[in-house]
Amino acid sequence: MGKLAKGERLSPKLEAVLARLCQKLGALTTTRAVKLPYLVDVVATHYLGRPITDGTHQTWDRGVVTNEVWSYIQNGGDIQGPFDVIRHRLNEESSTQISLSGVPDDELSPEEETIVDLVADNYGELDAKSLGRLTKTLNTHFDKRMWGKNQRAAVNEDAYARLSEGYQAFANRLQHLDFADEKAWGEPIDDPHEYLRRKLGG
Amino acid sequence: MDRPIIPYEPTWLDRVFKKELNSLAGREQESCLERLAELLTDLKSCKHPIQDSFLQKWRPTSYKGVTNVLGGHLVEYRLTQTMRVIACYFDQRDDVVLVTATIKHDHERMKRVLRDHGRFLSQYP
Repeated sequence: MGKLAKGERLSPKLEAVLARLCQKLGALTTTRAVKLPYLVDVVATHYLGRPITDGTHQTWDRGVVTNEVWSYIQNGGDIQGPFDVIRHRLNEESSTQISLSGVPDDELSPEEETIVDLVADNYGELDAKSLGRLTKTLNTHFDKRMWGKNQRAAVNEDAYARLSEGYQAFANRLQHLDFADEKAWGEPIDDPHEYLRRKLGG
Repeated sequence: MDRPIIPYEPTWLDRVFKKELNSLAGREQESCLERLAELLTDLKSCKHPIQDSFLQKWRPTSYKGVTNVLGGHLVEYRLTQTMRVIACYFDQRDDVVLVTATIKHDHERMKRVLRDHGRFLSQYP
């Protein structure tokens, strides 16, 4: 899969995931619609051992994008599917939203539904910039030049581990940190076990 | 001679890490700390923070991220399925600076659903 032809329908699972996201969050901006399915697959791979959607998640310029959803929205949706694709024009800016207006063909299992809901609850309200940064942070094995090259994004345990609050906080602070600044260094660690006991009280 | 292993105080074992660690069950906490101590011991005796063969069990990879780090190279080590350590090493000096340790905890809601549906019980006791 990948880019959809004009009028082509999303795959049943991807459609069901987007529909559930719309049920939870209301109409989705393009950014949310193209990025949240990736996070769904990262979380699903951790818990279920497999992704839910069969979407193609790629490293675009502003983060990970599910290519099928992007082209679906760019094409204005399709006639048979359960979505409306609506273009708004505000001043000089235009934006597109996708909303639910029907019932998807496929159903999600209770486990799959819970995963989509977790993603909606935890990441569904992030703005475009934060979502872009988050999806990039799950792929820190790529260097900067890979963004915009449409490579396959990671949907594995690394990506899930990098969703942690600490990993995200670190990534956001990274550009302001200077690891060569010895003033910020502690004492060299002599005995790791003793050090950890002292530091963490274990 | 041992390689100096140095905590970077602004971010190493910070409040967020402690919170994540405390969210784990006692046995999991002990396991994470044991793995952490083992990694630090290995780093002290390594010749190179990525290339040494005995470090490969930590599956070290270069952390390229979305920004360049001045003066060093970042490396990511995999301690458990969801625990990571990032360290910084330098071309012209021996020090390894411990930058951050992170843990991604599991969602209770998800564990409950999986348990209710009879799957992955061994994984989620």
